[in-house]
Amino acid sequence: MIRCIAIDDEPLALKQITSYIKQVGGLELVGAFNSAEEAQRKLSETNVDAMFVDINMPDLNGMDFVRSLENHPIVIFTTAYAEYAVEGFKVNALDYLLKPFGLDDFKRTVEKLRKHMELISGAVVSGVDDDNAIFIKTDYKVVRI
Amino acid sequence: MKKLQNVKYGEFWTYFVLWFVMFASPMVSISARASIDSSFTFHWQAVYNIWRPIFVLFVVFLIHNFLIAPLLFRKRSISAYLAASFLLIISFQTYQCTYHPEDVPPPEFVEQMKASGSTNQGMEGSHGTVNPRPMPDDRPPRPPIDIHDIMAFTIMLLILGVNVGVKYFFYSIEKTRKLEELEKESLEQRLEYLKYQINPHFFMNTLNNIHALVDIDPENAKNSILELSKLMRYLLYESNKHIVPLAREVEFLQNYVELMRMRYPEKVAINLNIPSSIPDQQVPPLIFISFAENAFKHGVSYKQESKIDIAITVSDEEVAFSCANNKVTASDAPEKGGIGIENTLKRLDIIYGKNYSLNITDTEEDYRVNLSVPFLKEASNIENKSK
Repeated sequence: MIRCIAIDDEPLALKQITSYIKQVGGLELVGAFNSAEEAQRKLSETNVDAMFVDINMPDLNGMDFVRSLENHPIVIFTTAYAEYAVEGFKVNALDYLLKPFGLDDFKRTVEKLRKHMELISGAVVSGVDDDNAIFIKTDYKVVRI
Repeated sequence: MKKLQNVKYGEFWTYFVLWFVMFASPMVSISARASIDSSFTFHWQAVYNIWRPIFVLFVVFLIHNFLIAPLLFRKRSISAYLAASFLLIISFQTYQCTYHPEDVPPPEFVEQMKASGSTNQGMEGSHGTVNPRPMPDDRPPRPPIDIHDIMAFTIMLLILGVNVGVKYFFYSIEKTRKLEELEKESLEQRLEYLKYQINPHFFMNTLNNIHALVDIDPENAKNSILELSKLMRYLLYESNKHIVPLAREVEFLQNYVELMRMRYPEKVAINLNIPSSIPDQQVPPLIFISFAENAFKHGVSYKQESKIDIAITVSDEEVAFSCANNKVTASDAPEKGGIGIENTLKRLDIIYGKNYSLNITDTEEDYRVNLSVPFLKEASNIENKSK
């Protein structure tokens, strides 16, 4: 199961995404929050694989929130505004769900997430090479050990 | 356009009256004399005699009015105008000096002459023949220029001068009117430019929420779609008029607030106070919305108590709008909200001048706007206000 949380300031949008998470198999909803602060608390307590974050929120916007996290889980932005897309890729977001999105869009993103998770769990990219080093994929980077 | 027509007719009627007086005056003076002097009887022949030189002047006037004056007023060529009118004057003068049709004396004058046996030159009478038209050759040679010619010349100059004067008068009236129209047009364009444009994000957000609501609460989703369509109807079709019924403006605000209410959780307190009956009065469109939008933009927080109070009160002459929100320290998206309010105020300045009141109380905790605008009369438009 992929452990995930959802953050959205608008109650309706949050309800919708939690219902999507429940409908799609393989996802476990750890928490749904309507502010970044609450989510932060949860993140410090428990292990989370992925999070769905709205960008335009009062108090603390989703983009700044992700930037403020040192070791953030996989990020999927959910927003009505396309103009954040480029910035989103700079913080290594896995995907960018443009609101309004339907269940099909959501499933596609979850599929992407699942593949990504598989890649991470199969962390070793290549065998031992000439220099007795192995390459391990971590945090989207291939690291030589 | 209608007024321009009136100006055209005004010029025509001025000439008509002037020439009517000119042509009528011999009739009037002759019949007046006939009524005073019993030995003098009114006769058309006498009138015709005076009409003839007047008719010549009338022709000169027509030529000047339709052929020469346009050079000055349309082509704006003073030299062409001067040259043409010089030619006209010369030809008139030449005509005046060379062609002297003899007046046909009224019959009774001829009778008189016949009776007394005397004639102009003492010729016809002796032969007993009646010749109403004295032979031109028989008249004493006229001097090259006599007082009649000078009089005619002066009258002609006067006619031309009056023609130019009248034309200029109506021309300048028309010009001022056109200028006013242009001014009004540019003012309208300014108003159009300053017209409030709702934040496009509002539509996206509302559609998102409705989309989410369809799964969660279909009945409510239907209502929201209605709410949104009413709001859009107002924005698209009604708000481009200069004035709108207050009731529609208030309903629009209501729609907006209801749609915003859907966005926020219950802990954001949104109060909208609207009088139960709204008088049948007119206001400019979209004058409240930018303040409401601003309140939502800066007044919503989940960390602290957030509250937005919007109220409308009406009196006999004006409508008062108040909007208050407690300030939250929001790390907001790039600031852009000021423009809407600024443009609304510019619009109000154009429409009302100093005739409206705005109070903004900006404290540490909250931000409060009080705006009162007088109702607009149906007929009053920006044209009157701009003066």
